[in-house]
Amino acid sequence: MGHDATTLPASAVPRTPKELEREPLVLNQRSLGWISDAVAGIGEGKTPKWWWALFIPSVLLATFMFSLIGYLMFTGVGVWGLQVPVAWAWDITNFVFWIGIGHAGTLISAILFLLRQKWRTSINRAAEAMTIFAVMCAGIYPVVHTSDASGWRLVVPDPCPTANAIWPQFRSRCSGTCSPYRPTSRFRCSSGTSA
Amino acid sequence: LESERFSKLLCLSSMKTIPPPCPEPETGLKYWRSLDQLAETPEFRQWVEREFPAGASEFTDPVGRRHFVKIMGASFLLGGLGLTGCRRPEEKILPFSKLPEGYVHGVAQYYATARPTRTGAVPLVVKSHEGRPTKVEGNPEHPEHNGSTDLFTQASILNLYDPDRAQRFAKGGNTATREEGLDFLGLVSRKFRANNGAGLAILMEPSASPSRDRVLQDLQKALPQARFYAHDPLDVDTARRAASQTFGQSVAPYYRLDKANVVVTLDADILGSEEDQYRLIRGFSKGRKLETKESSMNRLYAVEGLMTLTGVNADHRLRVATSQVAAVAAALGAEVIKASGNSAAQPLADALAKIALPAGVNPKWVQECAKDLVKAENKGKAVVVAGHRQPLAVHVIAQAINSALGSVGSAVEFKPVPAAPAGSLTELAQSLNAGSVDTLVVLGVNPAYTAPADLEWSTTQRKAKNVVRLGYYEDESFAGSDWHLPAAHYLESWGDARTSDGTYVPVQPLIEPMFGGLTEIEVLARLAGSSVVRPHDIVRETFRTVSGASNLDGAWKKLLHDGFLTGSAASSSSLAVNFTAAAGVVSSLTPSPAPSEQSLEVVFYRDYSLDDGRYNNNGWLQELPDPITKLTWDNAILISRKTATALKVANRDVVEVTLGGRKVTGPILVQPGLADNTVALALGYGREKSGRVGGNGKGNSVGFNAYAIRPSAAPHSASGAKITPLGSTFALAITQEHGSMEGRPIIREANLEDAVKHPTFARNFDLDSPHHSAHIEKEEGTDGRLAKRLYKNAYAEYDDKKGPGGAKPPGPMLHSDVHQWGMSVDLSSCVGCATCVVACQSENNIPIVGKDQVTRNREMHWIRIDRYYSGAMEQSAPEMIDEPQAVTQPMFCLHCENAPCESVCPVNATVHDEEGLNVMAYNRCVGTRYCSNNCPYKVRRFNFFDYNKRPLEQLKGPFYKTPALDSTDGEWDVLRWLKSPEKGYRPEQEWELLKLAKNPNVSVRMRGVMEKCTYCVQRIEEAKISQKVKARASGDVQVPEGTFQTACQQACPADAIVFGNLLDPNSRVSKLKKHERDYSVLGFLDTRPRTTYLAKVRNPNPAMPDYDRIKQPLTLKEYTETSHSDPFADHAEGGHGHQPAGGHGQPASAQGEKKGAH
Repeated sequence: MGHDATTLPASAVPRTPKELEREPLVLNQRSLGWISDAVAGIGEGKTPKWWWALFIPSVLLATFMFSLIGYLMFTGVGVWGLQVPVAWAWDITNFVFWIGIGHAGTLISAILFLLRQKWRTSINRAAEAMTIFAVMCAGIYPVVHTSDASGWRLVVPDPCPTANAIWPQFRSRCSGTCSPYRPTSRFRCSSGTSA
Repeated sequence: LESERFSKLLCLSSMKTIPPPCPEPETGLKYWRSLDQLAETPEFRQWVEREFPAGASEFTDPVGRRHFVKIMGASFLLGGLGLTGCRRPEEKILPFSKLPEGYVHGVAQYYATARPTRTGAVPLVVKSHEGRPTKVEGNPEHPEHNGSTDLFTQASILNLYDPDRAQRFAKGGNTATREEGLDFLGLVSRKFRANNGAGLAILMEPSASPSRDRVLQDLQKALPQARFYAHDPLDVDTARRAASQTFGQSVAPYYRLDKANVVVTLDADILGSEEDQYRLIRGFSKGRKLETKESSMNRLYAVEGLMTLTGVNADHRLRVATSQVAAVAAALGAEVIKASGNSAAQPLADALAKIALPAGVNPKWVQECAKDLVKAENKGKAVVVAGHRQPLAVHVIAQAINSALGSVGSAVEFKPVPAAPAGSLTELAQSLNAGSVDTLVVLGVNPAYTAPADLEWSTTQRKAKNVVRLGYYEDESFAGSDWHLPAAHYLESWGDARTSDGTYVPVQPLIEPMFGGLTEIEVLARLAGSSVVRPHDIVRETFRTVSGASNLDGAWKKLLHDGFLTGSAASSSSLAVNFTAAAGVVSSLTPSPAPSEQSLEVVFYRDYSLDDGRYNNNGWLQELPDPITKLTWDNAILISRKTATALKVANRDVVEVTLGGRKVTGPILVQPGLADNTVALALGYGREKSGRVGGNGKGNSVGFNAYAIRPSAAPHSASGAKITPLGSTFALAITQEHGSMEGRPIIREANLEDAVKHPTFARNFDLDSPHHSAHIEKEEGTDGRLAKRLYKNAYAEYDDKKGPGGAKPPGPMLHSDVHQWGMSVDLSSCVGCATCVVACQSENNIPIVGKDQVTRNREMHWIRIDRYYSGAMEQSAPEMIDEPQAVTQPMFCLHCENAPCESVCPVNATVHDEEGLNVMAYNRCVGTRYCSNNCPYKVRRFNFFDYNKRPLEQLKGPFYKTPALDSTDGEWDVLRWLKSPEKGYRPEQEWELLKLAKNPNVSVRMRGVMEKCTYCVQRIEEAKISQKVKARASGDVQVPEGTFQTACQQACPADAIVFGNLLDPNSRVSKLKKHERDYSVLGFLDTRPRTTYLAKVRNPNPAMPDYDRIKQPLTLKEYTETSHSDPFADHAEGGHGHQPAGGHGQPASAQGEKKGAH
């Protein structure tokens, strides 16, 4: 910033009261090139070792999660140790845990905002990121708790006008095109009247 | 028509290019099929004798069997027969070129047949779908049976489709052709006919087949020096031998418990493991119904060492070691004879008087029991039954008592039965050791497994030069056989039997032997060198002599149609006890010393589900919880609490039982009610060579083998055993760990006296009964039984909606006014035998899940039998555990009208239909399991893995095999599944057979789907459709009472389950629902279940010494203590303090009606 050349007389422009004057965001009159370098340097520079040290375990953990979800889908929800009468255990516990984490993030952000803490921005950003990712983590469990490859549709209900307030029949023809099941594969061995 | 039916049977299951020949009628026009047949050429004869056209049975390489099965499957398919419904539509379905008469595709056909048992047969009507039998039901027309069955019969259909059954003829363990096998039999026959049969020994199972008797006589005539032996590890023949000695004729007792007022069992598990138990249960439960006020109730005394179903249902139970039952029997006999004053019986009375009552038995118990028996009003209506584990003398005493009570001819009849012309296994072992046996023919028996340990059968058997065995499995006895012939299942074979009352019943095949199996009579006929070897012809010939019919053809057709020969029951002759002989037998009875901690008594008992081990490879029976211990997939070393404390062992501790130098290792299970210092071992487990269910040794056998320590001298109970803890533990799969109701009124009980005085007692347990809560406003029209609803049922709200002018707005009613289904279960007559569980499993395609899954509470049975012990509540008095009362209750989906499951299902997969059924739409279910969480009865079953599609070995956790990384038959499992989702991950050969057992009218549920009792909706719909067809324009679409039954109801021998239409005021179920004893389990939740229960009534004798303890049923005591309320007291004293105005002194029901009218 700062003021460029203007046609108005300097007296016509109201002077900013001193107390409202903002500190310049970029000091020392640095050029745009400098700023570009500084910003792009983060991405273009050499990745620090600590980043790799954090990233590699995270990728491994994520891979582990996806392979376990695959194992769950291929094998059955029994791998979670559920039973009757404890039909929800691992799934609901983890769902609630992650939702709780998510709540914590929102709460931190909200409290700082309500108390008008000006320094909150960076912390809020982190807290809200935590909320979003925690909700994503929590969302995994309702999706996979039916241990069914069609479980993802639980959170993406197809528009189905006849289904009032209930989830649609995921395997019906009105819903879904890319089911890993062939639509009728599930109960073939029935009375055979359809044959 | 028989011949058509027969031809259908033959033709249906072998859809080859040319159908096999059908039998020709004996008279009338003869039709010939070909010139060969007319000329009786040898080629034609050979073609007739061989089961399959050339090529089909000639695979000699090891893969031949599998290929053979494929051909089988293909032949079904080619005919458009089996399983077209199970196939995906892109496979070709060809119509019949000539449709069998009366055949409608998809419509089941029923054939009358029978399952042969040791001493009789179970008359059956078997359902057949497209040529494959799918469900076994009792024959309701049979004079002595009401259409019920036992659980072995229900499960026997799975044996037919057992992929591990013997499928080949084997010579020295290698596959041979059928022709070679039959040639060998001919060779044996010729060889022994040359020397009159010297050196030929034949070992058989006991049987009640007149045809077998006849063929045996022929064989004896042809080979007079051949020797015959019979082996039955349970030795149920003792009753016949004792009766024969007592009465001097070969007769067997035939109990009519429906005519008995008092029943005393001497270690006889008449409601569990005795022969013919389902018929005995039926008779017994008839006397426990109390459906009308006039009906009186029978009384059961049980003297026993094990905790059996009979003991559970007894009004008085005397816990005494099995070896000491004889002494109790003697004391009882002495008392009864003394009271009867028969001077002829004096020698017996003298012999009995010498036997002292065992220590610890209250003499008053025996005296009062005897007094009850000899009461004038019980004349001829009291009966004493001795069990098969007891020695001959106890049976003799029992028959002498029955005779003294005048019950012979009424409550017990004696039917003449031919004496088994056979020696024992021990005698055979002696002959073998003496080297006098050249050829040993073993028919059906598995002696290598079931022979007592000291006979060392595996080595003894090899002392014969040739061993030929006809066996259903390639089991332990397979290895020691030179020739192994596959046996046919009874549903594949022609045969006959006499049921225990002597009625002649046919065993009619429903399917051609799938693996070319032979029947016993065919093998015997071939050995005799008889010209008639086809079982059909043999049986027909026997029938000719049995019936004496002039029109044999017509009589034969009627026999096959009815399933029994009318009027062929044996008449019981009047008999007099030979007291001298009886005294002789009794005086030989040496009282065995009472067992002690140092010298424990081992009792070998018939397992409730595996029999003697023959059902070891039957998954339904392996997974069936034992009615008493609730143990699945294992046997355990049962001991009493006191013995366990003394030996310092606890449940699941692995111990070693040593008996006579032989050892067996197994886990401990403490059994309430078991006699002290008794070790009870179930037979039938620990097989070395059983199959994929029962295991094949090498650590994967189910349970331990109790035969390994069984001595031949004392095969039922032996003393002198020791138990040594080994310091490890073993996981047991027990389906019900918590055995107490904790005082909650789940099962409601009263003694007869109180039940008569307070007929509505069962309702007084309800939390919303006037008894507890007179202040609660009641629903109209419920006799004040139910609290007023807070809000209307959504269906009722819709149906009650009134439009303008009070008329119902257009639109369908949500409630059907034709049918409203309901069920009533009489806990008074239910004995807990678990036949319904297996019947349900068979009808509804319920999978088995394996031991590991049962330990994780994932069993799939739609019916569970809850067994509660009562009396164990008092922590201060642990001895209550020793003498508990136990109650059983079948629990299934109760079809609540306000179903908690329905309101939470996010996808509407479980909903109500207009007829009151709580239905599951499997296709809608996505497996959220919300319904199961919300079900207060916990009757919903979730398919956690693909139980129908996975072999058992894949169902072992906690790290389960995944199809993504596994392959079967050399193909990636996921690919296999995509190709054929029904087959899933099962090996081809296993699947080809197992799928045949499925009921095509019921969906086979896959993984991730909730399931539960449907009230057999497929049967309801079938009945409704046929009624609609019948009704035509008349509009009378209401299914009449008795048109159909649910599977559990049909199988129930006690007739305790009643299902029907509640809108029909004359239906039995609506009458039972109005009965005073009717109550809802957890009714206070306002679930309004459609299945309700009739409270249990016990009938103890006030004169008995233990009456003080059981003056009230112990569950009632627990309830009273927990809830501080007495269901018999005037409700003003109920302890809740809500005293209704004017309520004093009025019976609870009257008060209820008054409140209900508000």
